Amino acid sequence: MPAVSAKPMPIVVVADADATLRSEVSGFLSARGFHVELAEGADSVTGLLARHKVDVLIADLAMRGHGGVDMLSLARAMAPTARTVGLTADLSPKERDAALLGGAVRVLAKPLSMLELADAVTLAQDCTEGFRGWMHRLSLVDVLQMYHHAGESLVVSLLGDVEGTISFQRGELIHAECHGQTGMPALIELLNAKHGQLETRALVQATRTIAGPFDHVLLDSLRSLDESRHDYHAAVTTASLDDWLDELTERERDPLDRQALIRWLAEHAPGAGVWRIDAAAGTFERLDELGVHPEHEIAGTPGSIGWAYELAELTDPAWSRVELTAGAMAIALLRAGGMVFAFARLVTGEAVQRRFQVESTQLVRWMQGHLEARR
Amino acid sequence: MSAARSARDERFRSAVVDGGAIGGAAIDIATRAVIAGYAHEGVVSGRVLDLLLGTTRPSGPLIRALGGPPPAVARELYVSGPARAVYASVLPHGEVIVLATPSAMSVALGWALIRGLATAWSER
Repeated sequence: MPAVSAKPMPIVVVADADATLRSEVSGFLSARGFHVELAEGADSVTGLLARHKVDVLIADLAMRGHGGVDMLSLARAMAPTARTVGLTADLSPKERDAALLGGAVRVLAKPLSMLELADAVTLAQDCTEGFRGWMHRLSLVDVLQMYHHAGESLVVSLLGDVEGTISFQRGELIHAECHGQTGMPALIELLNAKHGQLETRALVQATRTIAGPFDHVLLDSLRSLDESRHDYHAAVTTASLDDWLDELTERERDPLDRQALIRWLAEHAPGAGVWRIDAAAGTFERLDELGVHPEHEIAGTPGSIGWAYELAELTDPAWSRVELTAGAMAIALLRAGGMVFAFARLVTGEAVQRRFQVESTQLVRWMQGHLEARR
Repeated sequence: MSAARSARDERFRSAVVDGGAIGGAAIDIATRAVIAGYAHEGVVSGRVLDLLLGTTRPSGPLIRALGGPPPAVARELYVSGPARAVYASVLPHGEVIVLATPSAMSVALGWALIRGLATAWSER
């Protein structure tokens, strides 16, 4: 029987002088599929960071290595890709801020809550890519839009006068909780908050209490909020909100959701390019995400789009779909919702050409369904 | 008609009668003469062949906006319209195989038919 290759277990180092804490954390994390290494002192941590590709370091912030170097500095120097969760008996705001500035993903107070630990380790695993840190002067709408455009799956927690959570799955709002409410009422209450703190964590369990596209959900929430204030004009006060509404109005005129197309391409046809064409005006618009694939691969594509279009018009002016393979480039044109789209990829062999034809068929189906749904 | 010609024509007749196509032909690129075929009248026009094979260059508004195509030889073309779909496969030895099918026919079957004809033609 052929061997089945298993995904390697994430390696977690637990560094603390307290043997009971090490044992409890080790048992807790081992049962959740982590490979756990224990360190009683800084020397052991140094050895483990040198021998293993450590994913997460859970370390007592009071622990010191040679020359008094703290664990966060040690981890940054020896294992830059490892994410650190700090433990401290004195969780003062000053200590917490210092640890976060030093690179800790999260700081936990002793005695340790295993639920908080699980949350922190999940977050640490979720931080392999992208940046983390502090930003200020952002509105909640700004942050929600940011995660929507990024297509992220995570939970945004609000702390302050109004507390609650908002969950994203692949860039769509799926759940909100606030003061015992869930769904749209909770989201509306959270959007009413003027200031506070935001934290994000990994989406572990996808609960769905909100349905519909992001733009519609957000617009409906803001409308409800405005109506509840009985002062529609006064409610829309921030520049970012004005900008967003302008952008939304513009996008609502566009029957195609470009972000949805980009997500479809990333999932079904990575490396392909898509254009929208206005043949009568002789204009075109690139719709896929620039920089995702080597641009030189499709550098000559627009000229071939014009060629494919003329071939289609000459063959059958009522054409609905075209495929042209020339040299190493394959172009598909499709008419949907009164628009013309071009889809292209580099074909380096027969298998890639077959793949292109399957992708082009799938894109036709997706595009027709997408445009119909938005209509 | 020679026996060889009949065998070539038979392949196209089979693609139409057995495969469900409307008509098809093998065309000499240099002379544009139909070498073999079955029910091939009107499958593809001379102007389409000229544009596909590079005898004429595209010159419409899109070309003016986007620039001309790179100097690459077309290998395959598929155009689907409301009544029929047209497939073309340019062979490396100077012929182009063209095939028309009903629009309702599966695209995968259309490609299978024309590639079968192209392979058979190349192996003759």
